Amino acid sequence: MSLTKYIIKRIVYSIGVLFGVSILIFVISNIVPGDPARMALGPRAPEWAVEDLRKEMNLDKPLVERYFLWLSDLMRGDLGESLRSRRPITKDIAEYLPASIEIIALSAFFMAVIGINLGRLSARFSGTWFDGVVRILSYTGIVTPAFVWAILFVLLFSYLIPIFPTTGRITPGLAAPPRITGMYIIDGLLTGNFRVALNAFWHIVLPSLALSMGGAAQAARMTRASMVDNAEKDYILAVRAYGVPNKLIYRRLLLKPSLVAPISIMALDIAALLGNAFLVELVFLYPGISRYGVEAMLNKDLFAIISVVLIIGIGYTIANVVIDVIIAHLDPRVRLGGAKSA
Amino acid sequence: MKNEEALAVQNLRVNYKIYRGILKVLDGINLTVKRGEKIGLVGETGCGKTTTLKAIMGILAGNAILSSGRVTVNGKVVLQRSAHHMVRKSAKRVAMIFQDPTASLNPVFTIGEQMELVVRYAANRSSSAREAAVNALRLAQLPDAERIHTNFPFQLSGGMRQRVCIAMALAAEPNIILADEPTTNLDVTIQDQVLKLLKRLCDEQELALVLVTHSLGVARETCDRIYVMYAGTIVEYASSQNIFENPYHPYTRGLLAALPRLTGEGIAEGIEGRIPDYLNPPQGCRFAPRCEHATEKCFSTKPGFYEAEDGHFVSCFLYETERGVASDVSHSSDTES
Ligand SMILES: Nc1ncnc2c1ncn2[C@@H]1O[C@H](COP(=O)(O)OP(=O)(O)O)[C@@H](O)[C@H]1O
Ligand SMILES: [Mg+2]
Repeated sequence: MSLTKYIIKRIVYSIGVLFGVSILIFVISNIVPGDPARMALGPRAPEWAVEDLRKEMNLDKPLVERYFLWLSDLMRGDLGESLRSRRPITKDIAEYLPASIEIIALSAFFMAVIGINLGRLSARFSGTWFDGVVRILSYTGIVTPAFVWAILFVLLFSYLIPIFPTTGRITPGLAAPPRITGMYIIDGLLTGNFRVALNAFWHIVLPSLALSMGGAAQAARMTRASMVDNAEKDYILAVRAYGVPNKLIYRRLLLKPSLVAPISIMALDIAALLGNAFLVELVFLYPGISRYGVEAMLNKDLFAIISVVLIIGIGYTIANVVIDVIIAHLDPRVRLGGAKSA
Repeated sequence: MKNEEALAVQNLRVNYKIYRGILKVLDGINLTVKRGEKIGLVGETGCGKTTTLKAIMGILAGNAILSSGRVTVNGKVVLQRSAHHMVRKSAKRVAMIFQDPTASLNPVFTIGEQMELVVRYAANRSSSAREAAVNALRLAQLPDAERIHTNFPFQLSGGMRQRVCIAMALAAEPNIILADEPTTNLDVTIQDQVLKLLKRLCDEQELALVLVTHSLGVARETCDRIYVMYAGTIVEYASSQNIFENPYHPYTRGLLAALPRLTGEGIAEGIEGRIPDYLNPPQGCRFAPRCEHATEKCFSTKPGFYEAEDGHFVSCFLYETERGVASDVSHSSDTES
């Protein structure tokens, strides 16, 4: 099976899963107690107003019918209206999602670069003080929640040593770049507003770093374990005996076959970022999709909840497909399809 | 030239440190290989054959401890236990073929990439590395060497992979090849082909060969001389013919008696008992607990080597009356013969 075929299959499969998820979320959010219309209007609103809103939202119709109404809207690109912001949800998402994508992309980058390099070096210098330090750092990284890192980083690098800004996407007073993708860094670069791009980048360094710590720690452990394991394999012993320099072995010959496991794990970590980002976004007062989603849940903002869940699902799928492509690039068995003979 | 030593292993002792203590595996191995000579190293699984080869290659596992010994390759000391530390140099002109061809090829690089590294670093050629690699593949009788050069290991069959490993060994331009049970993991139908190929290549290029196997039959077919190994010691060595026609050591005799019903594993079915525990190996002869001729002395003292016939050495007190040779000089007397 070729890689393209595999990816297409994967996407089709994911669409199926997303359908299932949408049904599940639809049912769950309708079963949990609390009347969305009442919550949207507040306890003081007169009963007739609540009744009107219910009608407007089709809440008076049976569940199955409502689901299909929602589905046909979705096909037209309409995600419904948020009960809280009273805006089309597509608008809300267009505002919050690009901000989150920026943070998550940078987190994924930090995760890979920090995790793999620390792992590689501690494998090469295993048993030395360096390995010990990385081990302690990794355990710390794995057990410490992202928001704790966020608070720590703010204290250290915003207050104590003021290098990075504390909150927001951009320094107040600086105009946001003209909207193209909604991602300030990209838009800034595209429109030649390099100062804005740099400023926006500066704002996401700390939150991204805080978010990436757990995944980076995990990746470092996995990379090290996998490399130390493979270092005793005959194919590495052989090149060592033939006098291939250690540097080349650790950077290339040993690293490449050892990356599949840590990168597969990273796919899960990256996908989980969207969910984990909530408290970090809160610490940095960063207008991202996680905060939006959590607030929607607390307010039983039906369509917003469903939309955010679907977006997380899509994000998960994309992260997985990207990782699959990277793994196929690393491992010829995946790229060229199954073993010819055992 | 012909009679010079290509490889000498002297009094090699290797221990492995494990959680439960220290495994005293190799207990003073001595062997010599002349230029162009093919020797067989025969013993049952777990007797330390792979450990011996890895010591020669300088690729012992991280938990291995060299407690004594010296390895000389082409007249140069490559491994030595000196007063306080281990001296290890990479052994040039020695190549090793591993037991499992799948594990000895890097799964994510092409055959060509891997072979060119060997050409570059082991044979010290940086120009025309590609031609050298393709050439080595042809020598190993791989059809369509150009294509195989661009293949990944998983695209080849087991037999082809082992040929690739042989080619890779040749690409290092060695004068000694260490082959660790090169056919054990292959289909029975191709075992013979691969063995013949190896033998022919060694003959043509005048390479010395150390063939590790647990089959005496395979060793006789391929090798000039055979070293019989038991539990980390050499118990007997002689020309292949002599080992078969006139075995002296009780262990060798047991092996030969078991030969007809030998099918790979369970080499020593004919002998009662098991290989000793390396945590607490027997103090004297390591075979004593299984030996029907063992005396008190066998349990308390390690036997030296006794020359039962010209060039036929046995490490057993039964032959003490023969010409005795202290174990650590056995290799030099061997060279003179
Ligand atoms: N790295 C290691 N750590 C601990 N024990 C080992 C290690 N390598 C080999 N051994 C032990 O040493 C003994 C000899 O092993 P080996 O040299 O592989 O024997 P053979 O190749 O003859 O089967 C075995 O008992 C094996 O379990
Ligand atoms: Mg072995």
